Amino acid sequence: MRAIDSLYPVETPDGIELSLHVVGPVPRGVAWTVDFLIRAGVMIGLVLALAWLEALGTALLILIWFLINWWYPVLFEVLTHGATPGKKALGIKVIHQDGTPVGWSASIIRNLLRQVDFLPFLYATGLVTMFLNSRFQRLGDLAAGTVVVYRDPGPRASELLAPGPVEAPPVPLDAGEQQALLSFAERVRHINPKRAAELAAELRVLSGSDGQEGVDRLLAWSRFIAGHRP
Amino acid sequence: MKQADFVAHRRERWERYQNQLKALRQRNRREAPRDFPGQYRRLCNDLALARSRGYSLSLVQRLQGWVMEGHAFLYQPQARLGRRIGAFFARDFPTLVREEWRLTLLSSLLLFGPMLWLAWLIGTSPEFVYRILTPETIDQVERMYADAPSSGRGADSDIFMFAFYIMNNIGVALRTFAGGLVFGIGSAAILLFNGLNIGAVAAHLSFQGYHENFWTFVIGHGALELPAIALAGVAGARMGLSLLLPGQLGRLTALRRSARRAVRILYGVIVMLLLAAGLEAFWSASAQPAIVKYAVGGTLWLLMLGYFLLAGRSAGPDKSVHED
Repeated sequence: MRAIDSLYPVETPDGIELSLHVVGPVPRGVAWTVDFLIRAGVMIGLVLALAWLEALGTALLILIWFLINWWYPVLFEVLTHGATPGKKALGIKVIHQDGTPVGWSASIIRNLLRQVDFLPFLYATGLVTMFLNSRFQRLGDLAAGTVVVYRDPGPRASELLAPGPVEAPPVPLDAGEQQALLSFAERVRHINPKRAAELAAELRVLSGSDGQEGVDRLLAWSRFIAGHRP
Repeated sequence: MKQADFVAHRRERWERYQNQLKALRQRNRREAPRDFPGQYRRLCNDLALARSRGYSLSLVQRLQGWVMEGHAFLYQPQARLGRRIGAFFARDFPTLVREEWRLTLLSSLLLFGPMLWLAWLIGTSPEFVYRILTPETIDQVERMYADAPSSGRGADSDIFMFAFYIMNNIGVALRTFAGGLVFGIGSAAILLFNGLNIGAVAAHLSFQGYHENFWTFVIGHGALELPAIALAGVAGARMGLSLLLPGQLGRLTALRRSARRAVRILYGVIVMLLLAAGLEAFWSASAQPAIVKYAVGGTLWLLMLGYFLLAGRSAGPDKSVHED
């Protein structure tokens, strides 16, 4: 699974490995665009709102422009759990490479070096760099030691297997096979019934049945594997 | 143990952990309940078991989600900001700069070298300034310094200039830093460019009779501004150099470490430039006698020099400089 998924393993000090999904360039580009629009909107709004203040208003505008231009991503990343509004909208966030929440130094480094990633136009350098490593890190990320990952660790079927008939599989199954069966059983609700039947038919040799009957058979085995009692 | 029993056995404990997580999330608290770390480690244990026993993916993912949330709370950086800032300026910042004395020297040479060179060159042949600056620019700066600094500026425009200086100068410093990533070339180019520009303006104005208006204006904030720009160059060069000469480390690791170091220098630079912008807007343009301006400016230069040479020495070599 790891070979095809963009999973990034992090080992915590507690000796457990967490799998994070790194984010590719497209969602990050969209998040950047959302942030860009927000920033542009705020600036235009302020220009209109502060026009009557004349020199003082211009001074405020310059200060706010400076803040928004340089510090918008840093402040949001550090203070709101690694996500600017754009990143939040896309369900992604920045973390340190070791999985801990991003801190001031790392966030400042990655966001200042944005300028280099932007060269020569529209993040061309950053894009090339992202494809040269397995974690989609741009230059700023490499220097800061950060990665952008999905907030949620993928689809999470909240319900476990519903109770029902229980039956032992006809042959002993190894751990991988057991897990495959369990995953199928937990996801079957979200799969088109015909497709589910098609998948279940792959095990026709073992279950000896087709269609909905085959699916039910597999579910019964899964309940046995999960430890349900008849 | 089958999955159903495993879950039933631990349900209560998991609910307790989830409630703690919810409380942490809502109040955004930094300190967790006393038994939270223990709960978290037991959950790590559960996750490891669930994985090795091949329990269902949804269970494993749910456990991992909880572990990740707990991990983010337990391992967030601790910031006792006030104390760290104090220690940083009393000791760490000047120590860092002294440790980078070679780069500081190089960076100063790139910034101040062209200034001295142009002072000599434009002093001997004034028309050389047209090689560096356009006639329009020269005309503009001459008009800027034709009057004494204080005349014709109200409080409003002081604040406006303050904002402008912050944006402009810190912008230059941040770009100088970022330019370092290109093997230090960007930093060096920005330093040279600024050295040539400032040098040409200063030399031209000095030899064309604007010297008093010019020097009384720049001497004060220059004490903070110019060293700060040079130090931004040091920060950038530190990064660039780590790519060229990574030493025993891999280039990426070297870059990561040096960036951590460089950004600490940059913190100091930003504060110096904020102070410089304040001085430039509210002091440099004020109507003080020239002698006061020179005395204050000279004192500031000496203070800066003393600060970087001496501050934090008595504390002795301190390892905390290298921590993040």
